[in-house]
Order: sequence, then C-alpha cells, then structure tokens
Amino acid sequence: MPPAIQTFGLTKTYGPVLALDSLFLTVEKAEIFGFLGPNGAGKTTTIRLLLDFIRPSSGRAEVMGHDTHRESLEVRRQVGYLAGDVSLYESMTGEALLELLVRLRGGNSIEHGRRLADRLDLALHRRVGDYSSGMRQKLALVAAFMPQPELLVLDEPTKGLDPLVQQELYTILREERERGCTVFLSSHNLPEVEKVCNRVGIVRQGKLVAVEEVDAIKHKKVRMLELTFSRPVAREALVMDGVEIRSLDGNRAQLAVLGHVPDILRRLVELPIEDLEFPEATLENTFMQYYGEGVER
Amino acid sequence: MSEAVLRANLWFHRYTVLAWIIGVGALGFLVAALYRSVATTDYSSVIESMPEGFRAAFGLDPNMPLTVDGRLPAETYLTTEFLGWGAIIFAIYAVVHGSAAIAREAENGTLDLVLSQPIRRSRFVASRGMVFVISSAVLFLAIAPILLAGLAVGGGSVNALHLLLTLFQAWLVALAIAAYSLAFSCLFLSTAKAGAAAGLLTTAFYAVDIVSRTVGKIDWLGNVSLFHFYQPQRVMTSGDLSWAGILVSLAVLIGSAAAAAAIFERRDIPT
Repeated sequence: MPPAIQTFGLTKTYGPVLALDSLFLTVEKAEIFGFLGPNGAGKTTTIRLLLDFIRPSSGRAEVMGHDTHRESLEVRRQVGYLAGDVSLYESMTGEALLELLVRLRGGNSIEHGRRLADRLDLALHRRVGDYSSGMRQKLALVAAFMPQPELLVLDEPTKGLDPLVQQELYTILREERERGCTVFLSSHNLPEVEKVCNRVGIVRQGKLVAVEEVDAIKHKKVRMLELTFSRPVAREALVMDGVEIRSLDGNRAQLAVLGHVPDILRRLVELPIEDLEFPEATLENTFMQYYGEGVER
Repeated sequence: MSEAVLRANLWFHRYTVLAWIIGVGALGFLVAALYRSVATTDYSSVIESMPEGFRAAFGLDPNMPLTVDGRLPAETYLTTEFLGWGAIIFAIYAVVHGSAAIAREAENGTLDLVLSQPIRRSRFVASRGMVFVISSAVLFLAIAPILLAGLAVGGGSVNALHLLLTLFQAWLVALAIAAYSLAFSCLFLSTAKAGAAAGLLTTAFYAVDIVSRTVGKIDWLGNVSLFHFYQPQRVMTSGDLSWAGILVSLAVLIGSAAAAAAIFERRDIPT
C-alpha cells in the first residue's frame, strides 16, 4: 500500500530563491503529521506542490500513489484542503458555497457539511461577506472535511478559532484519523501539534531538518526552569552539567534543563532561591532547543 | 466545462450584466429616440463638411445610403450614431470582463478554493469563458428591442432582423476581444496588467482600422484589425453578413481561448 504522501527530491526555485530544497518526505496513511517551521521555510510551497498549484523545478511527489502533477485530478479527488489564508466567494451564503464545492466533486448532498457546521457552531444561511474571520475559517474547515477525503491538507487550521472550537476541531481530527484519514497539518502552533500529531517534520530555509515522533521529542525533555533569587547570583554559580543558561537578569534566571533533574536540584539548593517555576516540558521548548536557530517566535 | 462554475459565476455577474444593459440600453434608447431631430436634415452636406479622419473614426461614410433628397434613413442614423462607435463600448465590456475572469480569482485567492477541487484548469477557463458568452449574448439581445423602441419613439423604424444580424456581428467581435483578454488574464494573473495589455491591443486594432480607412495607400493594413470586419452599415442596410468578418472573429476567439487554456494549464498559481 503506498504512503499517503511521498516526495522524491522535491525542489522549487523562484529565480535565484530556493523555496524548497530537495525534500524527501514520507507520510504514512492514517497518521496526523505536523509540518513545522517559520514563515518562508517552505511549508506552504510544499503544500502547493502537493496540490499541483505550482510545479516543481525538479523532483516529484505522490499522493496516495498518484503523481501530483500527471494525476493531479485523482489526487485532488482524494484531498480536502484548507488554505493558510482563507478566501471564499463573499456574495454566496455558506450553504451555497458548500453546494458549489460538492457539485465540483460530482456530489449533490451537503448533509455531512451541515453536521460539521453544527458541531463548529457555524450558521450556513448567512452571506460569507458578513462572516467574521473565525466564521470564514470554520466554513473553510467544513469545506475541507465535507467530502470525507483520504487526505486532509490543512494550513494553519486553528487560525482565528476560539479555544472551544479549537477543542472541537481536535476531536474531529482524531475522528478523521480513526476513520483512516491522513492529516498533513502545517502549523506555527506547537502546543496544537503536540496535542494532535503523531509525527512532525521540521522545515527551515527550504530544507527538512528533522522528522520525529512527537512522543520521542517529548522524551528529549527540554524543561524551562525559572528561578527568582533573594539576591543577585553570579553566572558561574549556575554553570552545571545538563543546564543551559537562557537568561540571567539580576536576581532572575531562566535555565533549560536537559539533564538529570534530581542532580540539578541538589546543586540549586545551595543558591538563595526565593521562588521557582518548573512547568511540564513542551514541544515548543524542545523544538526551540534542537532546531531553534533562526526560528520566528 | 463545469456547469457548477458556470452557474455560480452567472449568478455572481447578474447585477453587472443588468447594469450594462441599463447603461448601454439607456444610451442606445436616447440616441435612437433622437432620430426625429435629424430625420429632416440634409445630412450629405453635413458629412462632406467633416474632416476625413473624423468621418473615418466615427464611421461616417460620405457614400452612405441616404434618401434621394439627402436625408438620413433610420438604418444609417442608427449605424453612425450608435452601432458604429458603439463597438468601442462593446470592446470595453469585453476587455473588462475578459481580463478579470481568471486574474480576479487569483487576486482574491478564490482560485485555491476552486482548483483544490477535482476540476481541470482548462475546464475552469472554458466555464469562465462561457460566462462571458452567455452574459454578453443577454446584453446584445436586450439592446435590440431597446433600440427598436427608441426608434419608434423617434419616428423611425428599421428591419429588426438586420438589426439583430448587426448586433450578432458586434457580439462576435466582442467575443474575440474577450477571448484574448482572457488569455492575458491567464498569462498575468493580474487584472491591471491583463486589462492594460488587452486594452492596448484593442486600441491598436481600432487605430489601425481608422488609419487604414483614412490613408488610401495603406488600406490593406485594415485587414489586421478586428474592427475592419465589423461593418454595421452594410448589414443594417442589406442584411448581408460579412463572412470574412465572422471567420476572422471566430478564428481569434478559438485561437485565443485555446491559448488561454494552454497558458493556464502550465501556470503556477501564486499565493
């Protein structure tokens, strides 16, 4: 069985600018894959290549075993897509827009779209032009999920959504994965990726710099320890194995803890600590530790 | 062609078409209704007194059919006062509509929405082209009874079939102009650039036609202009369509539409 997405040295240049540099990536079926990276890293370029909006300068890609250019129609039949910047026909109602999209796929029922809209608390009878940006995002999400595709390609899916709707979206994403759907999700939102993804690929300056299981990254455990001292301490006092000093400003310090926590705490006890915060390790901290150079925060 | 895209876009353009029908129709009605004011004028001497270039620009032929006493028949009046230079209005309509067809969708970002669905790009272009074919047909068909009504008010009348044939020929020219505007729209994916390119080409066609009619030595040059084959006076008077004109318009229409589809199939769609 072919993977959901496979790229073979996918490269895209715009004149002298290398937007994507020889991408080799495999996304297996029924996984939720997070595609991370700063602006301009090549995330959107990759998505546009997969959907045949743009053509590779070299290399190629397959979606569900179909060449993304030569068999683009078959690819798009199996893909639901959410653009990073959602643009919709303003003069249509939400319902009319869904009807147009379903007809373009040869269907005639938007019943599933109506159910999704209910779950996301979206009124379909209103004109898109009267929607708020969050409502547009919801409608675009409904449009992407409605055909119940084999692969969902979502560019920043929670942009503009309130936290309650975000939670509902995460539930829908998990349901889609259980149905057998693959999700390729581009995001800046690392906690979101941590919540829903099985694996992440990290792209920077057009290059794929890492592909990791989310759990494996979490096990690398980069926890941030924030300390407040009763009096200023010298930098030398904080130098120890398994600790990186992120900042030291008078009597406040931020440390990245990479080593064995008990050993580090034993050393810190000797310092005039007034208060400390030591939250759970987040993917964001880990990500910044390992791949953070040049990453936009 | 995609029926869904066609139906949606006809619905989007319903007010635009209505506005053009009202605007062009009102102008045509006014001109036609004013026939009474010139019906008794000795027009041949008026035309002869005009500069040659002016006559060429506005289709005022000194040999145009007049009554035996030099008066202006309704067919000739309607041709010189509306249908002749009206080609400019129809050309503007075609350039505006054709150059925006694909480029506006690219600029608005809605191309992503449509092209992420399983539809061939060439089908999308064909559907958008068909929107112009239908909406312009409605415009031209609506103008005919308005002109006839205006003439009736102005005390004149023309052969309705001849008027329809004249508008049919104008419609074919408009379709050809819209088709190359559509090709520019696919090429630039920018309404402003496509409109400028199509507008310049159309202006050049119009200028070449005028110059070739004015300067006898280069009258052959007129053959490269679409407007050269649009001869409303002849069709209004005799009902004879210019088959060469029809063939040229259709050739430009088909060639440009094919070019538009081919360009769009190969084109990267920017964000």
